Amino acid sequence: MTPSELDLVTAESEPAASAPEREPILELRAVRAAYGRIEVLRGVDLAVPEGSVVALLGRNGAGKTTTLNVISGQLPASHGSVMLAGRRVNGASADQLARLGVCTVPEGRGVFPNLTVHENLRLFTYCGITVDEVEAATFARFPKLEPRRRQLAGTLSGGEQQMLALARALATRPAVLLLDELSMGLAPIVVEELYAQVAKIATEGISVLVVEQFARTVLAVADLAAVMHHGTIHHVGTPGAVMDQLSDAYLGGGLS
Amino acid sequence: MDWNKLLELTIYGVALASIYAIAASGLVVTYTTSGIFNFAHGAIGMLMAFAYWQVRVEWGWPTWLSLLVILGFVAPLTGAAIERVLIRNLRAAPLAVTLVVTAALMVGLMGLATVLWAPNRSRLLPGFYTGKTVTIANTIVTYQQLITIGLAVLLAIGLRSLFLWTRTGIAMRAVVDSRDLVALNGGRPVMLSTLSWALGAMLAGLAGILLASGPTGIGLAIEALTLVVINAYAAALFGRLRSIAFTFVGALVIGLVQQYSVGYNLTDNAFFNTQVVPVVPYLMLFVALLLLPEGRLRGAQLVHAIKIRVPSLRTSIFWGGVLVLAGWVISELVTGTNLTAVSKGVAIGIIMLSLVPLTGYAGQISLCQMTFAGVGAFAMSRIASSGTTVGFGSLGIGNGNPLGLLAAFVLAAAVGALIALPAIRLQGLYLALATMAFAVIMSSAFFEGGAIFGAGSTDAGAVQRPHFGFVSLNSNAAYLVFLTFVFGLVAVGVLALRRGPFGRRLLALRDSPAAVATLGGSPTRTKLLVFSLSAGLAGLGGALYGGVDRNVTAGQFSLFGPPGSLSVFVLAVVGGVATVSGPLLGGQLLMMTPVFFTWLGTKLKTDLTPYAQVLFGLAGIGLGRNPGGAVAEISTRFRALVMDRTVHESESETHDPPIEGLLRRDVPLGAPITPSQLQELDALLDLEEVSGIGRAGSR
Repeated sequence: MTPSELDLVTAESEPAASAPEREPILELRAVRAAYGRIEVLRGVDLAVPEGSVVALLGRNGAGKTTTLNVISGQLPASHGSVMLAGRRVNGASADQLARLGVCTVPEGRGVFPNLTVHENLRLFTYCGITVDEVEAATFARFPKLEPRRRQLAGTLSGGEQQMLALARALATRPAVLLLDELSMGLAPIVVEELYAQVAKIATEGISVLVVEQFARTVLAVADLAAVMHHGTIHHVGTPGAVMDQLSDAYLGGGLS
Repeated sequence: MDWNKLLELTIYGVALASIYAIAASGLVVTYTTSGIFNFAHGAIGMLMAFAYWQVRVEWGWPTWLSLLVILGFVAPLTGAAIERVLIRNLRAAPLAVTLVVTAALMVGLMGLATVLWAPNRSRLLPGFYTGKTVTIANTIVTYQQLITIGLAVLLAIGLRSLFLWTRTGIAMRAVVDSRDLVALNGGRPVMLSTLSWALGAMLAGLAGILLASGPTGIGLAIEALTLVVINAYAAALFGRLRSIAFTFVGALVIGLVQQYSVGYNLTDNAFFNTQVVPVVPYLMLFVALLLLPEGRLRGAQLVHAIKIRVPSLRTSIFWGGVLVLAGWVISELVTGTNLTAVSKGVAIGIIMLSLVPLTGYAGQISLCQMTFAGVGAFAMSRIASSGTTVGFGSLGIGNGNPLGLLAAFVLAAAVGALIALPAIRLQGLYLALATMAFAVIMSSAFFEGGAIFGAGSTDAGAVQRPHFGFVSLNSNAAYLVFLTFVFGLVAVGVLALRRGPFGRRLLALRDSPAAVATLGGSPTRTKLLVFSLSAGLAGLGGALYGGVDRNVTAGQFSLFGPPGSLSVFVLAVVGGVATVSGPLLGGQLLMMTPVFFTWLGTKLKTDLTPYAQVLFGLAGIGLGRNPGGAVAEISTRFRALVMDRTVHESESETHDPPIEGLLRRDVPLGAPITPSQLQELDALLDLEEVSGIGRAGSR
């Protein structure tokens, strides 16, 4: 691990200190993970307090998506602990975690393009709710999708596909929602619409961890923001503070 | 118009189509859910039919119990076991490896069937409700036909409801789109895959039993039964291996066309009736493949690249010399049938060398190399024999005129180009299936007819050894030395090709056809060239192979052989098809293993020959674990013993771990993105992000 100038800005132990009093629903403790021999996560400490929206920022290759992959069970952590509601869940498979209430909307479009909208919703019924309830919840929130019920998901517009992917979070009422690059390839206005829904989801008590390149949009809805660099979390704080620090760091010449 | 005959043929056709539909839908179910095309589907059906015979006839169990045990337990468990042990590890494997593993499974299962149910006695499977019939409009319909049709209809309804109305069925379809996403949705892709293989094996078994017990005239014959279930592959292709509905339509078309072409004597042409009609399903498979819409050019795929060292010209010539020397020593030591087997092994090695540029470098799969070898042997027999022999007669240029070898190369290359022209736009699996269909069509329609290799039960055709004035190849020992010389020559040539620009283009074609196209190369022309070159080399090998016995039979150039295109492909890949030493090993394995088992059998006083086939199957299946082939594996291990350092180097090169962000990027050839460039790119991207933050922050 190479020390970077950012270490001077904040200490690594800060996440716990800056988090509100609420118990974290999701917590990463010194998590390390690697693709083959290349270590991508080099000790990630991150806490998502219950009912809050945490934004994970950072440049390409910082390890944001990898962090989500570890949490969702797609990539095993080589060291450290992933804690879900106080329990260590390392080694659980992706489908087990999904059933435990970790809902992941992966990078790209989190829908099955060759299934109809209805069939996609049908697959969201793994947590004991009926497809009718799923449809009711979805169409109430995203009325645009209702007339497209029999249409193949692959033929929806990008925004509609993300709505469908988000609908899973609404229907299955997970404990934690992991969002990866919701904005990818979408027009800014659509992104704002989607994030308005994310904010609404958070008010219903669902904790959200969101990875995003559109820093401005996501910081508008986030309670906390964490900045990743080179496989570690470098600082965590309120969106305003992080934004100031970031612009100081980047534009004030603190970080080249 | 004879309406009764039409009705009768139609009912026969629909009943046959029902069996095809049952088999094909099993194939579709496994393919869609696991993404692996099961070449062994036909062999599984065959094996289940034999297992059913065992309990129903040999042990005399009642029909209902036999069916319940075989279709309810044995078949699903077999399918699930195959998935657990073999298929699960193959998910990220390259297509060639998945094809070899399932093709090897097919070879192995056929060997297993021969071991368990030696074809030395006749076995009959009773039909269902034999003798019971109903009469519909003056046409007699058997209960068995009604049951078969009824089962297919039930299956159609059942599968449709499964896939449309149940969560499991929808999840099985969803796995096709994204396996990871299914897991993220709380589904269990692994279980779905096991389930689909169990279901697939059950349907294959049902089709096998219906075929073997029905009035199709196939009965319990290992090869025929396996091949007929393969007829169903064509039906599955009508549905593009996805749609169950179109699969049923395809089955109906194939079944009816087949029955009508048998029932109505379209011509009095004996050739057409006895040789073309039986392969109608394969012709339709071929046509169905050609009608497939052209796939999009594939971009780079990140597979675990296996680094194979390419020796320099001097090194390869040196080792070629060593090989000829070794051939000479062996020719002095070994005699009789063993010498013949070694020689045939070297000749097969030359045929396998033809797969090195095609499969090893360009990543294209051909299951008809022995067909090209047959064409080569034919050319040799016609050009270089004296006097007329059989069939087409001889040009009579002379006894063993070396021009025959040239003719073998040219004619096989021409046939290769001919088959390649329509099939070349097919990619991967479809190309493999097209070549398989071609192998069966050529074998049945041409080789077996006597026009090519002579009439009569043995279909023997005389193939001369090439004759060079200054050296005599009449003794078997001299011929072996000559064969090793040719092997060395071809191997040096293939390696030279690999080092040159054409070789680089072939590798580029394998790694990213899209990148080749964007760089201004034509993937189609490159494929066409390498396909004809490969066919030509196989033809040359075939001419030399024929010279070992001075005689060939049609069976040698069929799909199943022996040696047969399938085993040639499997063992070439087992040896290592990206190296030139792999084919040498593969050829010897193919020819010497039966010799060994026969020898062992005479010592133990039992017939062990079928075990050779089982061993081939196991060897191919084992490939799933080291896709580089035996030679690459052995040399890596060997080098690990000799010098520790080299291996570490090559290992680190072998497993380039994917770097986030680089993974899905198509890197154009010749301009690799360096890590520092990547950083620059990242910095650029970050600047935009920072400006966004800056604006928000300054508000």
